[in-house]
Amino acid sequence: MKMNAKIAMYFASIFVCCILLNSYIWFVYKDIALLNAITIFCTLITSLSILFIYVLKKHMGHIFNQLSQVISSMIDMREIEVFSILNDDMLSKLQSQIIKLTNILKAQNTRIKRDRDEIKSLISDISHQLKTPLSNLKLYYELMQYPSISKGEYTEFSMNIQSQIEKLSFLLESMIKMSRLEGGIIQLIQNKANLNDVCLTVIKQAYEKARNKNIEIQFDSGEDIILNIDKNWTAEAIFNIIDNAVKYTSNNSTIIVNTMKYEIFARVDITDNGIGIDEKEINNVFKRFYRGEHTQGEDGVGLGLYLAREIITKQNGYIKVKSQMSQGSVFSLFLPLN
Amino acid sequence: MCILKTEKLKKYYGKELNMVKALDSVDIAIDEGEFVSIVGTSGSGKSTLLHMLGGLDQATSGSVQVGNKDIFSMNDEELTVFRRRNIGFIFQNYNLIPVLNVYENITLPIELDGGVIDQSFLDNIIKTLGLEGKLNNMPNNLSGGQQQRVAIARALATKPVIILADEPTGNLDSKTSMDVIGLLKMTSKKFNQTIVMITHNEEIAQLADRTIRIEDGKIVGGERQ
Repeated sequence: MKMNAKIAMYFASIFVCCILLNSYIWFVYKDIALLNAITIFCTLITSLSILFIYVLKKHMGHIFNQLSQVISSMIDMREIEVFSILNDDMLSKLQSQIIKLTNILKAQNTRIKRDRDEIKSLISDISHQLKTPLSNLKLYYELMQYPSISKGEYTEFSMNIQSQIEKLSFLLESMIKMSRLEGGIIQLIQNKANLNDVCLTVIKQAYEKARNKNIEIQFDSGEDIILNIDKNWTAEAIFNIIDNAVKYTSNNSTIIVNTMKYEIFARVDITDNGIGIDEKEINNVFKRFYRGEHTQGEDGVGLGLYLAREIITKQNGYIKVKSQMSQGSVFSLFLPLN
Repeated sequence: MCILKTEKLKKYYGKELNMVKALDSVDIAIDEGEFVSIVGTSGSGKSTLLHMLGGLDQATSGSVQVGNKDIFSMNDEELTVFRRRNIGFIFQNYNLIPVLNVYENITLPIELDGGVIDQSFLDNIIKTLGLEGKLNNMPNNLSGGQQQRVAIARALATKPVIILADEPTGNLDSKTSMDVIGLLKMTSKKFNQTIVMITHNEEIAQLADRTIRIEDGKIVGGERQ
């Protein structure tokens, strides 16, 4: 039934009630004065009700107007306070919810913009990184074109070319991994996997390089830890950290990998007694293309830790570092259990 | 987008010679979705700062703006309503209501605001924080870490604009601390929450997106670049 029809019904019933009351009074008391009083009273009540309905309707109209203003403020992404947001009533609550929604939408827009900027800067970083080895290659190639160079120089240049090519191919490999992660082209496929098995696979990969430096990798595992993770990418993350540990630890030492199970997270610790990280640098080591001040002697492009953190964060985990210069570092990876 | 801002925030205690400058012209700006830690030794003013940010204490001068709203211009009643809708608190000693069970504790701030419980959102929080099996427990039957997880759930339940955490791991052992901080990190990302956390533990501070350092009431590092 329509609202107007409802109101009409309501007034009709009041009217009928009044007539019934009046006729009852007339038939019982037969008193014209009393009848008049009752009639006046009934008329008064009825007109007051009509007035009330009118005021209410006006008020509702006003509120709807304001609501429409609130919604149009949301459409324009402006923050206008039509109702006070500080009163303890429904309209004020509605207003603060609308403001919250507007803010969420704004934040989303900013995030999308930031993502786009991120991709832009990624592209410029990549092109910048590729420039150096390429121009080196070009230089050595041109030098080798001179007929006057000696046999010794020739060998030296070709060695240089080889190392630049190696650097280039390593760089490209890392970048492919990075772009796959960044672009969201690769979805992490999370399946049940035993964390200890993943660690063992990684240690096997790193074993060769460690043996060349006579570094022992020790693995302490507690109970089996079954996690919902992407096995290959997680292995990549752990490998990058162990590989760094091997790189920046002197010969004849030990790297310890151990796993632990907490209530919510599983933890993998990779402990080395290598060169350590300066406190000032700790916040930077996970940045893309960042290389520490003391890493000049080693190959690398500054992507390993960055990738490791991306992979772990994408799986709702996090990485923590504890380090002291020339004492060594502990990298701790945390991955959620369920 | 800047969600929390202080301008020349000052808090002085005492007068003249006995004057202690707990906060001395603090200017900070925190963006939506950021996870910021505030570190400093005890007595450096970090708790005072957090109390100011949450409108729990009046400043001597300066302003605090939460989402464009100056909180010192409100009266007590307005501030209470504003806090309930916009700010979530996590304390060192959990502050759960001992006579209510876990579920009732989590939903209490929603009930106070006369709101309808968004069950699917609540289930999501409860699942993320691993509290599914504990909903009917009383707080004193839970471990410290579990109680803090309930407090986090309670803080998230009203979808506040910002969560203020005062030494959330202060009473927890290092293992449980790592769990709790991990969850804070995870929830801040998942529910796009802005979190400001006070700590004196460098290891924990490191896990935030940004660390603000405070010494003798002044900011000494960690300003936004």
